[in-house]
Amino acid sequence: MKDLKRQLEQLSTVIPPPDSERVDFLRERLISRIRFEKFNQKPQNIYILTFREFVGILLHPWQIVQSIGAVTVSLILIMVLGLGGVVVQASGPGDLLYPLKISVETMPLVLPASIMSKEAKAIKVVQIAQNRQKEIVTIIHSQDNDQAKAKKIQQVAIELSKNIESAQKRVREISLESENKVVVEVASSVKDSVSEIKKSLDEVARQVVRDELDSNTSEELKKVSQQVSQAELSTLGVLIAVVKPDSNSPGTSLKETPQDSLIIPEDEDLPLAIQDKPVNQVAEKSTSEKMVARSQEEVGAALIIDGSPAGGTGEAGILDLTNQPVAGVEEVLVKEQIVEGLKSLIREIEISLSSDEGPTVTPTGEEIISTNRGDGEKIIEQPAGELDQVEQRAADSFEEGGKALNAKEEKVSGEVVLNVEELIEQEVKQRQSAERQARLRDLIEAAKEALAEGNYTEALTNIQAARVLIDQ
Amino acid sequence: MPRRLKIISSVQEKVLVTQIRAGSEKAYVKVYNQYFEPIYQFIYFKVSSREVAEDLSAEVFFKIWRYLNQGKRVRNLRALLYTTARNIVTDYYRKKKEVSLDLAWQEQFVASQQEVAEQVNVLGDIERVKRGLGQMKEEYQELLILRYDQGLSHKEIGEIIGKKTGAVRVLMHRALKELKQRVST
Repeated sequence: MKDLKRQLEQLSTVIPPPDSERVDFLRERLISRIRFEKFNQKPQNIYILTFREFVGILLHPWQIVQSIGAVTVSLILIMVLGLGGVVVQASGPGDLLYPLKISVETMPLVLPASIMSKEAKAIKVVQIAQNRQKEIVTIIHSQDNDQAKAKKIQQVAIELSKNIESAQKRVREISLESENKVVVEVASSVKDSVSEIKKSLDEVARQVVRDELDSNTSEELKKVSQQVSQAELSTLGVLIAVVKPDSNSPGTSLKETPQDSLIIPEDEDLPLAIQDKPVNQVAEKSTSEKMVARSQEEVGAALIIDGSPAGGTGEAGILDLTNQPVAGVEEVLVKEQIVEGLKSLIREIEISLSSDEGPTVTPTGEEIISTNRGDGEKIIEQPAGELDQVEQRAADSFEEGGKALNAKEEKVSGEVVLNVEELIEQEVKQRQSAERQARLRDLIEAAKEALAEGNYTEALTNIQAARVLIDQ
Repeated sequence: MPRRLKIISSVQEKVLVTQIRAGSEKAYVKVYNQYFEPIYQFIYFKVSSREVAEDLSAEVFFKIWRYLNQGKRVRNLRALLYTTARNIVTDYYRKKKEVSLDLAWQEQFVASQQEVAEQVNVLGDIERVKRGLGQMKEEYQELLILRYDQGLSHKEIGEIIGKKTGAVRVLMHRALKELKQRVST
């Protein structure tokens, strides 16, 4: 039986195979007949499709284009995409389409460099960051409940943080690879945008505190704000590194950190940073100056760009900044920008310092008395002749404040409980706070001096150190 | 065929059918290339003429295309092809009218044997099998050819000839038994 079956299986081997040419001819004839048949068929109502036909069209979409015309299909596609685009753009944090909106916004960043340059991408990233900042502002002013606001702000803050980090990274890359003029352009643009974002974020942070939103939200905003500050300083550092210093202004000596491979370039020799230049000794001075020096070393990495000796090969990744310097007029403009930026940063730190200290009355000993209010506003008082009156008023206000505080405590509980540990802790905090404020004041002064001398790098380093102290 | 391959093949077939329904010529050409020769072989056994088998095979594919484009349901494309081939051969002989189908089939089969024997080196055993097959009734011949020569399953054969799978198995057994008797004598 098996043999029989095997023989049956071999039956086809003994029949003549079809003629291959004829098979091809028959195939072509079949296709012609099919096309003729299609031509003669009544047009199908494309609006009424069975499920199978629908699936067939999906698998072979060209058929629908042929049926209803390429132009019609294109118009439909454009409308659908346009409407879809509008819907996506209108979505906000917490919406279902929000992640899609983010993806669509960041799509240009994946384009090749030939289509969108690195510089354009860096600016685009900052624009995206500005969009996130605007979203945060919108959320704060929205009618949502606190919980919803907090959640949305946190979501956007995370995105903003990523954008800022990306912007920083891109500016750094551009500073290493591009010409100085391009670097200046990009860094200036980024710095301005980032400064705006910082101001807006600070305002939002204050609002969040006032509205007593979730503490996580405040933390998240604070983190992003710090990152934005860092980005601002970083871009300012890039600008400083690119611009040639004023030859008349005395430069500070090199400060080399033997442990770090990164070197703070000497202003006079910018853009060179030579490893074998003599290290200037940092004089043994007061604690605050030691702190300044240490802070400068610590924060150097955030600001510094490697340089290579003129004509030297340099190490891998070391920037050769001995390319064309920024032209005269542009250099002046950039310097102005740098000075403005540094002054603005110093002002911010001063405001922050004064808000820590609370309302103060500072008899300066000069003709005019100024009072710093908690929000940074200065009140110019009467001339020194009325100093006694001012002091008396200050003493009265403190007394009243103290009475109010006591009254409050009395309202809360009828007893005054002495907690020694708490008192010690408070005392330590106060001392630390006082020390911190003293250091901050020193740093501010050092920054102002450096700025006056034209030593931008040192000024920036001091500002960075002050920022670090404030953020602690 | 292993089960996994059967499933894959089945899915591929369904995709092709869907594409053909949507009017895809490319998909249909794939079907044509894949099945032309088996259909041709099947028809050749019935008509014993290469040219007629080729023409009728092409006609099968045209009819299948029409059938699919009318939106009719297809469970098994392969079975549908063979069913259509059977019907087309029946129509072919009906047009001749003067000769009964069975007789025509037998005469053709005998004639084909002679033709083949002249053209191709044939083992003696196979020739005997073919002769024995030619003396059997058409239903048995079809069963044996579809099963052993074309490699269709009992289920597919059942769809083609319009019988249940169990009945096909019984008929197959009878057909083999009869062929064995004819071959041994």
